[in-house]
Amino acid sequence: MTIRNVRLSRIATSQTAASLAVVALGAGLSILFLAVTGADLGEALPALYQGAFGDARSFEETLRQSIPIMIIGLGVAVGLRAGLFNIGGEGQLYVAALAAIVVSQMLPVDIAVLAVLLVLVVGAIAGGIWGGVTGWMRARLGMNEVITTILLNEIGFLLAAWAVHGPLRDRAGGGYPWSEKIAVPFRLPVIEIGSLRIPLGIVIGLVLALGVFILLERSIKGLEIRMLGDNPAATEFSGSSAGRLAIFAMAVAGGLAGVAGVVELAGTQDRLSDFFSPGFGFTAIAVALVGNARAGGVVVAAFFFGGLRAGASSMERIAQVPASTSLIAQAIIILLLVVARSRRLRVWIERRRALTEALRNEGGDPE
Amino acid sequence: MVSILGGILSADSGEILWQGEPVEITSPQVASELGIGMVHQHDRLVPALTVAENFALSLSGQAVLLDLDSMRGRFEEAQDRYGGSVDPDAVVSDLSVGQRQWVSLLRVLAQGLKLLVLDEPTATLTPIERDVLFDALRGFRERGLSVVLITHKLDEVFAVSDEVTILRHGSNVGSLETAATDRDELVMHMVGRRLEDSSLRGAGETAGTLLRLDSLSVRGERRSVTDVSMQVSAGEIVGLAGVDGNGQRELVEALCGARAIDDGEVWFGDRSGPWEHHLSARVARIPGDRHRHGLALGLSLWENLHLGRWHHRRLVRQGLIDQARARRAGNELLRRFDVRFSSVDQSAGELSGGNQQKTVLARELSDDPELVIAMNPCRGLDIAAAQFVLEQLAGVRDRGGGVLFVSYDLDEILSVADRILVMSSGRIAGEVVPGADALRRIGLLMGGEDLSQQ
Repeated sequence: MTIRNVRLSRIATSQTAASLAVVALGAGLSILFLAVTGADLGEALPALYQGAFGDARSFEETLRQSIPIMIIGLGVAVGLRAGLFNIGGEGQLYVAALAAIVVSQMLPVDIAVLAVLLVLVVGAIAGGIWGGVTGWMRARLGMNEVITTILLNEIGFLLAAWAVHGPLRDRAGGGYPWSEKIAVPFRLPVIEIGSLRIPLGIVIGLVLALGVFILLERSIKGLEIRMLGDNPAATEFSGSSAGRLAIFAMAVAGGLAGVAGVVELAGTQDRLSDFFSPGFGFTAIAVALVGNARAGGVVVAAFFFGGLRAGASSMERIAQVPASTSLIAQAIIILLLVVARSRRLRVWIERRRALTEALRNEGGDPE
Repeated sequence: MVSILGGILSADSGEILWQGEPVEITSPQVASELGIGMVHQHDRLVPALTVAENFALSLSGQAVLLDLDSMRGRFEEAQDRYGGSVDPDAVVSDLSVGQRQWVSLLRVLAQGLKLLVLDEPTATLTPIERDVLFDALRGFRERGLSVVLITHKLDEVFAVSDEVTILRHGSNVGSLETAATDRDELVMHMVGRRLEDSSLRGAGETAGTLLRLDSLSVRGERRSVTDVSMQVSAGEIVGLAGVDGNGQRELVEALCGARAIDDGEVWFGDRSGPWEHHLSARVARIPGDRHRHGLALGLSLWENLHLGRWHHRRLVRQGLIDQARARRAGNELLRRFDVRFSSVDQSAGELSGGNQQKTVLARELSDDPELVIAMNPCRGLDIAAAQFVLEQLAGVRDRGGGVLFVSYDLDEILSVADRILVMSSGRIAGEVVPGADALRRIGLLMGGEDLSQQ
């Protein structure tokens, strides 16, 4: 084995170890929390496992829960590697799902196979614009993307909420603020293996993960993105436009969140509502951080958080432990992660200042 | 070693004797309580605060509230004693490198100490500031204080030291009485061999113009470049000398596309206009600040070795990097430029400063450039490595290329440049051709004298 491989594996190991330690500690603290609040652990923990991996149905539920946070998380990872923070997954997802359902209602329903592909592309474009515009504001107007993505979350969500309360409302929907179901040709098929029904979204997620891996680790564009995240001044010096890369990275992040929205719509929920997302966009940030902004890490972390979500609802049913406990566990993990990565976060904050400077020097700032 | 004394790193083995007692310097606080004061090569000032505020940070025993007026007073007092004319209300990020270093020095001097350790303190000082500093050091000696001066400049050793210890590759190769030794002996210890006095100057035949500046003006935050005209022809090395902070950095950044040109014209060959990146196929740029412009420290060595040159070197196919070839080529470059590394996959940030510099050179000089714009390319290198860099620049010239060689080190410039322009206050103060009288004339021009009057 060459020195190179030893080194690489050592670095990868230490990063992975940090993530695993954080997750283990977070799980421990969460169990402690359950015990203190008087839950019957002997009942709750098996219920959690049962709900996540116990049988075919619960495994399917884990997969379903994993899909959107995996795909959005991949986008957050792309942003993070460029030194940009996409908090806007929620808004991008809503806008994309809205665009997909509008397009599906405008088209004749007998276009078969291409139909679902078409709405996926529509969603990617809608989310890509919703994300890309924050990249543009960052690059050309000097506006912080953390703030603009959060603000666009509200706008995206309210657009969708207005649509399902108003023009898109299903009149036969028993008064619920939701749209009609998306027509059958636009739905994602399910792969049946024996008794297991695997949603196609998981395949889409894994293919996208491979794509993000190739983009970040193998392509020249990915190198430029990583260089932007590492040293914006050197990025400009070596001939890449920091502004264009920032726009590209945020558009990819938004586009992936958009695909996630359409996959959730066409694969799981079938209709858009104002309770469409239980915070997928925010969980995805935890997924990307735990996954260390690497495609493979994101996939693993997404399964973990998906399982947590699936298990929590079964815990609520069987052991009367509120499902929101899973959100507490998630929050503990994020806090621990911030502590464990504080040095890296500090470096990251310093680099953001360099990015702002590089973008300004590029002539984007009106100053 | 400086870091161990200062309490930043701890020793793996061995011990430190302080006034006869073994001590463990576990933190910078311990060092300063013992009475050891450090001035580092890269200053530890807070850029966003003013000089007086930075001054306050270093003094212990403060009241809860900051008495800025008394800090100003103490700073001025230190300046009265040791010289300098820095405004205590100036924000540190607005100061030149030399000024910042001077403030760090004053800050340490004001602490009251028994041992002062200076790490390459003169690199960015003007000759006058340097003399003032050395006078202050001699004053310390008279008062019974000790000074460790870490330097790679021989004349500084002979100017102030009583005893000299030479380190090579991290180990002690000899301690000598300064009065009982000479330059040749020191150099022999430093490089492990006697340097032949090889002049790297060229044949003096030049061909077409590779770089021409017509009345170039560049606005800078601290120093602007005004009305600079010059040219670099094929077959010559043009040295650009001057004290740090006289516009060299701004000029080089403008030529390299990192700063906007205000007025005037740049010609690369027969093409008029500022830097464009397709020029990197034939123009090499060695930026003055390798951490800012030269390298992405978090990326691997092999990635850094091809930055901005992927397409030119045909390492990209359909948007994907040919990693195997890029690694192999990177490995080759690192060996050719004698970089000490353990793997092409290690990050550039893991290398020492000198090896980082060689990595930049390996990238920039390996495509047989026709023009090289180099700023302080030997900074941070030992004598042998610096010599190697100068040979590379001479090689470019001997193959018929041109070099614009900007350096704060006159010896470097004198050893390779075919003619020398001197920059002062953002303008070209004059031109000097190497020769017996060159050093004196350059010194005068750097000091702002007008030689055309003579």
